[in-house]
Amino acid sequence: MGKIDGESSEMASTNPSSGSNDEDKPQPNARRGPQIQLAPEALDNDGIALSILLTEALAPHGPVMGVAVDQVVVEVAVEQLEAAAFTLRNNPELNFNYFRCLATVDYQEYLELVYLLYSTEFRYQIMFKTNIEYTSGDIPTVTVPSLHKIWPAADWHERESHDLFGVLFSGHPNMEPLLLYEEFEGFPGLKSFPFNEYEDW
Amino acid sequence: MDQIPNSVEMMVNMGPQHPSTHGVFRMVLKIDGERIVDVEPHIGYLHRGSEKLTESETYSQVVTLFDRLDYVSNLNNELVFCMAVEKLMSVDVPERAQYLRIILCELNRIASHLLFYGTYGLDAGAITPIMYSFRERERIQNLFESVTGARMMHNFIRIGGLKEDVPSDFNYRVQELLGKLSVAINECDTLLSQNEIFLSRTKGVGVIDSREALEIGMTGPPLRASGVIEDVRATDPYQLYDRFDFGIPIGSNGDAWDRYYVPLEEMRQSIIIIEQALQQIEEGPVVAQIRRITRPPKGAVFAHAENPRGDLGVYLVSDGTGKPYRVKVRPPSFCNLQALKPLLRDAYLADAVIILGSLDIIMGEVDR
Repeated sequence: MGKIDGESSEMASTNPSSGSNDEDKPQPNARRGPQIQLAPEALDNDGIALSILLTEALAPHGPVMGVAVDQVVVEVAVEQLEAAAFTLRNNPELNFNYFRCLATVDYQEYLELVYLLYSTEFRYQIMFKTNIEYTSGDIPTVTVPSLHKIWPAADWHERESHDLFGVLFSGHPNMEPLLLYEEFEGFPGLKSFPFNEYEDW
Repeated sequence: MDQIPNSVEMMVNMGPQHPSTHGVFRMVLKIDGERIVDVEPHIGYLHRGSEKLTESETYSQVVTLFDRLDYVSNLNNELVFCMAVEKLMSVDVPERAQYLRIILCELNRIASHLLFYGTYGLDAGAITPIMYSFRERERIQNLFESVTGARMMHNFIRIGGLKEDVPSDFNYRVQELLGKLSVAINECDTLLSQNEIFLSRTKGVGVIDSREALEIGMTGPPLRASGVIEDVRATDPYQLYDRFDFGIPIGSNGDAWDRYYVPLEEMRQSIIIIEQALQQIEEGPVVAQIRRITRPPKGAVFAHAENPRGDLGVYLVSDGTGKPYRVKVRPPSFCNLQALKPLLRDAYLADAVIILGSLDIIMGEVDR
């Protein structure tokens, strides 16, 4: 393989890295203190239509619409989560029949649960969000209704969220640790978890 | 299933150190005679906290962590993370880079499916297939080594493009490789697919219908084996996949044999994609003009791509600094493994390995 390795390193030397190009640095101080920019919103026509459709369908649940680059974001209060999820699943115009993922994000003042949903019939994909406030100390104590009855696929995703972030799901059949071992203490996903200060075991 | 009177249910532990669990996976089977009554999968033996680790690494370092999720299809993993960052930054990746990404990813898909083909033969008790499939996989690995410098953990796909251009003889070598691969895939097909013992072990075993497969969140070849046409390359095209003409193989029965045969057909489709890409590819830059230090704008984004094992998604939250705020990986193997419970219920104990093997799990991405 030595010969081919030599070739590829030769290619590397003849191709100067274009990443070091200085053309896209208009201000000299841009490097030191860059202004925080917001992500672009690039919703296409189908996305706008879906956004309108969702606003109508979820009107009783008080949805807050948003955009994440190219996807529609729907945010509801945690009390409305189960009812809104039921509408998303069973409304024949939406039919979100595929539960893709549950992402939990710790914003230190509140936790955000992001349900990534997909409709195989209409090829819609949305981010369905809810927030849970921290009520005491570091750990959120608000209970979130489990959605495993609406989407059985939510089962392990919710267990993982409980494991790593301590989110409490009511009505879940089995909340045993999934990724961590049973004796593990704390919630390593949270930003407050002491990440680099572990002891030798 | 009705319980036979006077029968005693027994617990059987399988794994975590078991050759057919494809890593460190444990399941506790509750059996009644030869039938499995219930199964409790235990995962997490390989949990390294990859998602949490990303929060203390810069964007370009995170790519190396993605190599280690699904460790047999590294390039596909790298691609998804880079796609998420590029989407957030609105970077236009040069066409040559996109074509090369597709060629490399499809080659990696073939390598990954060849591994599945070989190990699935082993699961069924056939030793020969893995000899053939690993011989072919070795050719792909050698090509990867000459292109990326590493056999497995490549770190070749970078944010904005590729690390560097491919060697000058790349096209010729890929053409040569494709010729050998298409012969070898047919060879593999004739070797195992219609073998009578293999058929009787896999036909009608572990059946799941399309409705239940979608409900439990299955993805990738195991979902398509149940007859659902769901392939991110076609349904939500990324990179330049909308420029290619290729088929999506689906199964009709949703049994273990279909889950075995769909990847085999997919390898042929991958060859078709690579051939088209080689014809369309032109000279040009392989990396976009972006700053060396990646600082995406503040916001969240979801990007996904069709990995050999299914739909790998990345939910990325950026706070505008040089390190990701949160990276959530949606691993396809994790979702497929959830289907193990309904699949194993009422199956024979002897079929447990065959059904688990047909899901083609990689524990590196299940546990993260």
